[in-house]
Amino acid sequence: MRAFPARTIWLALTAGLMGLTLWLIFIWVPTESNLGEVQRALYFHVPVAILALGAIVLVAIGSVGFLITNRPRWDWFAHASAETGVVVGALALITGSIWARPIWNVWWTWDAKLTTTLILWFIFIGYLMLRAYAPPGRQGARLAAILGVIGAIDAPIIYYAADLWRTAHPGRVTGPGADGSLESEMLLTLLVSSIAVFSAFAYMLVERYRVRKSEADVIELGRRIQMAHSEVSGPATGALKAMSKG
Amino acid sequence: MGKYLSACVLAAAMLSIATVALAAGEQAGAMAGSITSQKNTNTSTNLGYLFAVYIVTWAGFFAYLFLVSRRQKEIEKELSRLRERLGEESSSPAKRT
Repeated sequence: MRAFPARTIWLALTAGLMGLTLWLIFIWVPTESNLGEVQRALYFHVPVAILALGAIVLVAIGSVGFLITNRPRWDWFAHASAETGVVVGALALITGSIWARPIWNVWWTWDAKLTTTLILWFIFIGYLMLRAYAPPGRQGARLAAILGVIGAIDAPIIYYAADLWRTAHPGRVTGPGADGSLESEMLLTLLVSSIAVFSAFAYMLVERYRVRKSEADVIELGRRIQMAHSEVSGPATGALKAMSKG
Repeated sequence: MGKYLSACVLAAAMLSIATVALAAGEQAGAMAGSITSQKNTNTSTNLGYLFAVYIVTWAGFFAYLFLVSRRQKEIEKELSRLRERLGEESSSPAKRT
């Protein structure tokens, strides 16, 4: 019998956990009395919003690691975190917007929390655009690392936006400084849901890191082939080729 | 990897339909026994928004995972092709002499 790789087991466990989350959210947890059924969106929206903040912190950690050690694996990690950050950031914005429609009667408002989260999403996009258009190699990676570190300044601003500005967005329900207004059943559901979503995020991050590493392997192999080819053909053959082109 | 992912997507889709159908059924039952129709109509409308939030989250995760795993497959093919080519280059007669 073929043994399942660890990643397949991880994916299956995440899927199972997500199934449990569904049951908790839609069947088990009581309905919030003021907001009604749509409040159940909290169990998806809050974990992805936390992950969007977490992703920029991971980008900053990877960037600082790269700037200090100059090792490419830190850069791959920062790059993978930025790309997964785009996904969870987009999910946080979209799910928040869908939730806002029945509660605030608008899809979007320039509220402090929403606006700073949108800025975070643009920081991720800016980081990836810089990676795409900057010179290849270490110079581009260094520029992106600097952007990654500066971009992380937005994380505490988002977290404390409700304290810093007058905002329509509800206060924090978990984490430091939270008002702790959730019922124990709601808190448990949010915890299980967060574990499921965090596990899915970690899986995506690992997969994206592997892709980034493989891309680096392809570049390295291509370079070695070029070197081997130039050794085989020699300078005379190269000159002949140049002449034939001329 | 691809078939496991497909199985997970299929399971998630089936589970989502079943769960939301169950939740909607409970809502319909509650509405039938209720006097205030206005509040229940709003709740029913909100269920659509809730469904949208849920679908977007799952679709986002799985679409991204699908794209990443496809990219990984392409790169692995490219890697094996390059390794073969490197083997040919290093074992060619010109290289040996």
